[in-house]
Parts: sequence; C-alpha cells; structure tokens
Amino acid sequence: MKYLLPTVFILLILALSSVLWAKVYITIDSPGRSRFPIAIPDLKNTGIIPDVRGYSKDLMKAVEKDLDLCGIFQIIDPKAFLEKEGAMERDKVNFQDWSAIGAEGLVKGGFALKEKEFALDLRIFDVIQGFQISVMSYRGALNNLREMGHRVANEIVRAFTGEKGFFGTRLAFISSVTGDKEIYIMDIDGENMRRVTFDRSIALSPVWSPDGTKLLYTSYKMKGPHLFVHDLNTGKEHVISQRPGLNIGAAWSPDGKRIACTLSYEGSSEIYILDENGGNPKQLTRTYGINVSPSWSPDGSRIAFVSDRGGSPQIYIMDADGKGVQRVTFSGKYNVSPAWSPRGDRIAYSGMRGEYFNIYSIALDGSDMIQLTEGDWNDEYPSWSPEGRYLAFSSTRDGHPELYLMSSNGIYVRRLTNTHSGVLCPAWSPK
Amino acid sequence: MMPEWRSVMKKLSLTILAVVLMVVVVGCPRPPTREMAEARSALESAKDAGAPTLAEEEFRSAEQMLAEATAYMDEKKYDDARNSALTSKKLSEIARDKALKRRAPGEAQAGEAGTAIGEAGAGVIPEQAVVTGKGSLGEGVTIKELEPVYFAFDDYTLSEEAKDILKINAEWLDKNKNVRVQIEGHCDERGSAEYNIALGERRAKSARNYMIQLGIDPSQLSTISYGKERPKDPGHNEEAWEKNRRDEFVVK
Repeated sequence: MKYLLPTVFILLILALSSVLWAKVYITIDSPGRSRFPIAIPDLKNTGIIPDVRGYSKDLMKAVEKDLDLCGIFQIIDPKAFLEKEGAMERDKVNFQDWSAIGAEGLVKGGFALKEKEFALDLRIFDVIQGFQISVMSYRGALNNLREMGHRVANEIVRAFTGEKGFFGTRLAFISSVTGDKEIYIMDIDGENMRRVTFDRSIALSPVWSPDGTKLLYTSYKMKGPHLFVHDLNTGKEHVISQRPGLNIGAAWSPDGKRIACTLSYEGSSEIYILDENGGNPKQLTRTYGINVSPSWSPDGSRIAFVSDRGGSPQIYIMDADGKGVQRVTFSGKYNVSPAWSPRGDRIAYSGMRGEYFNIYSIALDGSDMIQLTEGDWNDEYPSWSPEGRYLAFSSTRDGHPELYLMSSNGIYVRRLTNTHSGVLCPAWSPK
Repeated sequence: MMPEWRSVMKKLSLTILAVVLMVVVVGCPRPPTREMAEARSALESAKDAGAPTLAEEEFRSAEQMLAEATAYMDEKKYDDARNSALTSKKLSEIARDKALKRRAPGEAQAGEAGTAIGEAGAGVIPEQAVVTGKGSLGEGVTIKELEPVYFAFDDYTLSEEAKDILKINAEWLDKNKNVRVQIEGHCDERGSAEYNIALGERRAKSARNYMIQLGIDPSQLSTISYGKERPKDPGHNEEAWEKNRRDEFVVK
C-alpha cells in the first residue's frame, strides 16, 4: 500500500512523457502564431552521377514554394547559414550553428541520380532539442520532380504539425474566361490549370467524387438545370438527373454511393438522396419552400443544408434520413453555402451582414460562431482542404472574383488565381 | 387632481388598446379557410368527373397544389396558403372540364380540340408581335406584349403592380391561345448560385400560378429558372439589382 502513491506518480510521469514525445511543434489553428523558422540547406549528392542539370535544386525550390504556400513556415535565407560541412547523420549535425541563426526546424537530405530516376534520403530535425524527427526515402522519375516535391513538403508539414500538408491536391472551379461558365481544375498551387467542360452553356457547383476521379456538376446545356457526372480519366460525361424543374447543388456521400441534391420535380425545391446513378430518389425535406446546398458530414450520417423555412435562408443540419432537423445559424439574415469540415466538428458558410458576404465558421450546435473574413467585398463558396485545416473560397476583395486559400482560423490568407475573368465555386479535391 | 389623472390614464389605456386591436386586426392575415374549402370541394368534383384517370396530369397538379396549401396552413403561412388554394381550385376545374370532355360522346373531336394548344402551338410567334429581345439561352424571344414583372430582394410574392402586368399578359395569352410561353425566373447577383436558382424558380411559379388563377391554360405556360446567371444589368448596385429580380416571358 505504501508503494501505491509513488507507483501511480511514476506511471503518470511515464504517461505524460509519452504524450510529450509526440510533440506538435506548430498548431495551425492557433491564432496569432508567428511562422516557424526552418532551414533547408542544399541536398548532398551521395551518388556517382554529378547533378549538372540541377535537379536537386529544382526539387528543393518546389518544396520551398509549397512550404511558403501553406503559410506555416519562414524559410531562412541560405546566406545566413553557418554550418559548412553538410553532414546528414544526426550525430554529425552541429545544431548550435542552426539555432544560432534562429532555425527551429532543419531539413537535410542526400540524393543520387540514376538513369531516369531521382532517389532522395530525407532527414528532418528539431533544432532546439537536437532530435531527428523524421527519416524518409523517396524514389521518383526525373521528369516528375514536382510530384516528389509535394510528397516531401507534405512530410515536412506532417513532421512539425502532426498532419500532412495539402500539396498535390487540386481545386475544381468555375471560370467565365471564355464568356461562358465552364469547369476547370488546377493544382492547389495554381499550376496545371486545365479546362474540363466545353459545353458553352452555364456550368455550376462542381463537386469531387470521394475517390477524386469524377466531378458532379450542374449544367444548363440540355435546356434546364440538370446534374451531370464527368469522368476525369476518360473525359466522358453522363447525365445523373434531368427531372423536370431543378436538379442542382449535388454532393457525393463520403462512401461514394449516394448523391444528395435539390430536385423540384414534385413541386417545391427539396433535398433528395439519389443512388450513384441518379435513381431511387428519397425525399428528405418537405417544406414547400427552398431547400438547397446539401453538404455531408464526414461520417456520412448527417447533412447540412440551406432552408428558408424560418423566413430567410439559414443553415440547418439533419440526419441522412431527413429526421432530426436542427437549425444552426441564428445570426444574420442570409446564410448560405454550408461546408461541413472534414474534422466533423464545424461548418463553414457564407453569411451576409449589411451589404456583403463574408466567410464564417460555427460549431454544430450553433455556438462559437467565428467570422473568418472581414471586409466590404464578397467572400463566398467556402471549401475545406481534405485534412480540414484550410479553406478555399472565392473573393472579390481585389475587384473581381478570384480564388483564395486561408487557414481555418482566418489568419493566413493567400491568393491562388489571377484570371481577371471571374472564378467561383472552388471545390477542394479529396486527395 | 387625483381623479383627473386617473381618467386621463383610463382614456390613454383605452386608446392604446384600440390601436393595438386595430393593428392586430389589420396586420394579422386572415386564414384562408374559405379558399381551402373551395379548393377541396373543387378537387372532389374533379375526382367525381373521373379526372384521376381522364386528366391525370392536371389532377395531379391540382392535388399537389392543395397539399402545398395545406402545408402552408399548418405553418400559418396564410398568404402562401391562399395563393396555392386558389391555384389548386383552378387546376381542379381544368382537370374536371378535361375529364368531362373526354367522357362526352364525340370524344374524338374533344380530343382534337384539347391538343390545339398541345403540339401545334410550339414555336408560333404571332406576326404582329414586336420582338424586344432573346431568351436567356439565346433561343426564343421576348415580345413587347408580354412585359416582365419585378420582385423585392429574397422575395417571390407578387406586388399589386406585378399582378396588374400579369393580368395584361394573361389577356394577350388568352387572345393567342396557340402561343406557348416559358416564364424565366431571375435573381440579382447577391447570394449563392444555388439558392438563387431555387428562388428564381419560385418567382417563375408565382407568376404561372397567378396566371392559372386568371384562367390561362397551364399547358400554355412553362417555367425555368436561371438564378442569377443571366442578369439584365451587369451593374453591382441597387439600380442594377432591381432590374435583375424579374420574371421574363419568352415565346419559343
């Protein structure tokens, strides 16, 4: 009995230390966080073939560009580096040389060129503690170093924040650059923008299938708002719903088997669930009013949506069978475009206060409403990153609608497009 | 001094009570119990005439509209309920008439007469019509004789002015029974694309239901919503927004 208290005490210390060991260096969601200073010296060539063309520099430039995009890191200028010998092994790194210049994180690596291949041996260090927190090996094609750069950047983000980054994901969106609203996709860093639809009609509200291979969207190309699926691999399209009246605002369930959307073929605009081919309609709402913009919870058990049943457009949630309807927003006279966070605990939406729309985030029970953007312009159509720590949205803050990304607390905002043509309805790919 | 003060207070409270009562009586909408009853009995008449089988589509529309009216009654949305009840009654009458025609001897002629508005009417623009523009997807035309009606922000109810315009439009359509018109619902640019498509549809249906109440054959009127996608005025101010919150009548 007399050993009980000390035993418990020791166990507690052990438990605590195991928690401390999995250290999270940066929490993206915490407000007012200054950037984490990180040093990324040149990679060391550990192979036989000399890197005449500068592949390793290209790779690290791509990595740094990604790290800059997510707004967490401050990359220290290489001119400030003190350490001369480029040792990679943890016991050979002179951490004082790095902490002296203010670095808290350090990324080192060795590479080797093969005929068409690039091999990378990556080490990530915690400078303050002198720990090696990650060791990873990568192999990739020389002509696709961009993709390896994304994987490296994702790992660096994971090492310091506990969750991997969003590099390599894409945005689908609507652009009017041709004069008609068409669907485009691009990598999250703005590269590889390509046109998806050539309908010369009105395309709206693209959403991704959970496996990231298809887009579901609304189009007027068959003389009415109808729902279509576009296969990004084959380029083929087929119609999902062309019932009389509205067929709009669709969202794929997380398991890919159901599609929630708004149909009005039975009279008023209500939320329905269709199977993945657009059949077997199940009516969920029955208000004879306006019910639009369904957004699934990440576990597929509930749906957030917009309804005017209370007299003005507000956000509600309900079970996936239509029961248990609860109102979420009570502040403001016009709240639309709900987006359920992939973390499951919050809903982002666009709310009108006065003349303009800004992005808000709110807890599921309607508490803890946070205004994420502020200004006399329109911020609309929020879309979460797959891990739920960032939001893409469209904003007219620079005059006409372009796409932006921001951290989920609204603190870090970064512009993504520069099309001058009006870009809207961003949808962040699931992977 | 005291009794005088009391009598002033008494007068004041009576006045306040009278004002409150007036506001309540004038302000609170009367539940449309009469219109509901009439709609129900019109549906019954249509049923008796065999409309569920002889005029299935029209009967189903009438039934749907009555269900809508009932739902609005439950939610105490009395203006919407009255509107839907009136439309339902009209649709029931149309269904009943169609059913009776089909039962009567000489059904063949009745059938032909019934299709006069059907297929033959597609694509007929009367010669004397003055074309003022094109439909929102580039097909069909707007004509001077069918003027647009306008709406308040986030609203789909018809103002008295709108109703007057619809009465005039209805008169023209009544004189030109073989012309089919698509009512396009539009919104100003504020708010999400999706909410506005749904609102545009309500605006189009508002006008259609009213014109049905006025006696226009439902098959002459179809609806479509373009939400905020086809503004008349591309401006970003109240002036432009007012012009964009509208129903347009397009002759195809």
